[in-house]
Amino acid sequence: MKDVAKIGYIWDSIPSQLARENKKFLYQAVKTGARARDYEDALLWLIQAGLVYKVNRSNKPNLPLMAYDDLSAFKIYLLDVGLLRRLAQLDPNVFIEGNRLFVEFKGALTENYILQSLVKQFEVMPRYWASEGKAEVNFLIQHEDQIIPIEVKSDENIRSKSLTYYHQTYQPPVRVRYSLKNLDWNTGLLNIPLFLADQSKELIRLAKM
Amino acid sequence: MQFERDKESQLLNWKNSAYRKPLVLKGARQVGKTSLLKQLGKTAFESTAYFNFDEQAELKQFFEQTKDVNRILQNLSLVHGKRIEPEKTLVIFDEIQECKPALNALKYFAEHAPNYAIASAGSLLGITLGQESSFPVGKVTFQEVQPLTFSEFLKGLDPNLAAYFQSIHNLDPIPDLFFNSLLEKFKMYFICGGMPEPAKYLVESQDIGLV
Repeated sequence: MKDVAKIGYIWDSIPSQLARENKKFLYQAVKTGARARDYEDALLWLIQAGLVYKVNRSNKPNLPLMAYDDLSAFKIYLLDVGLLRRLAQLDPNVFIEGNRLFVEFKGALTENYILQSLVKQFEVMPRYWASEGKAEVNFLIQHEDQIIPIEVKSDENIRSKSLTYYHQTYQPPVRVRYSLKNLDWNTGLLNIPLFLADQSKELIRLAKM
Repeated sequence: MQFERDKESQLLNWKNSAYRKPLVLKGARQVGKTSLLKQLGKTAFESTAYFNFDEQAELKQFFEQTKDVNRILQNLSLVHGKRIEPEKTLVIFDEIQECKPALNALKYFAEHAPNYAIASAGSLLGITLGQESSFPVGKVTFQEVQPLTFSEFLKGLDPNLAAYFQSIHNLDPIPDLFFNSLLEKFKMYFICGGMPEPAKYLVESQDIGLV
């Protein structure tokens, strides 16, 4: 068990990894001088223990998703939003007011929650998609014969340049946005309130009808 | 209180399946694997024979000495203090990753004793399975347990609202009254998370400061 320390370093670094704007997992951010080849076994241990989820970056939103992974980039989320909050040492009472809890911490908690919910409903592990500095879509899911782009909006601001860019480039029949707005289906865009994420599969089915 | 889990119905399906194979329940620690299996034993079987390979390391011998499942079952019956009966007893092998011979024996249970209900679980099972190339994947049924979902949490907190939640089968906007109460309950879940322990405290005490 010589990897125990490494597992601990990775675990403790997850909040700071997710606090960065692009949330990409960096081995250098685990510990000064840390390299991938020294730490990837420890990371694999966390994944296999079911404690974290690894979300790969997708090169191309094509079927099957797994065939287009960009091996150079991925993000690491926790298996549970409450665990992430505690690991990040955010006091529960501090942000019970208003909608601060969704926005705080660069929206990481909200993204983590949506990922958890998606993992339970869809068989294929979600990916994320990024195009050279132009746009980034939080998650891609493979559902039946389609790739569905997903945007997570943690505040009232629901404008999304990235999802629009993705839409113009790939024209998916359904695109999904999670936000604090009410349920809405309008010209290919399905807005799902955060609390309804567990019903996503059913809502997407209804939208496609 | 205890949360009603969506997984319960899947476990019942496993129990009643005509092609039942030994079950391997995966999932992180503290997500409720053992409780789910014990609950299944209580509700769907006449009795439960629970073995924990972490707490009772001596059990390992039974599996090292022989591959004959009937002899293994005889020995386990003696430890259990009651006869283990096909279809009537749920046999739980907890923390099975601590005993590789038991993990391998699942294959023999599948082949020679399919009428016995064998369910195994372990929080570090995923790691063992990732390393064991010889594990008989096709001879077992895998299922995975995750933290409580918001809808499971809601069922424990507010059954009426949970019933409404599950009845949503159209894309119309949610009426404000429901929208606001759902958002309020969701915030509680969001802060607490879905690990059954803290969620239980929260639902029982209604005090967010405790989680």
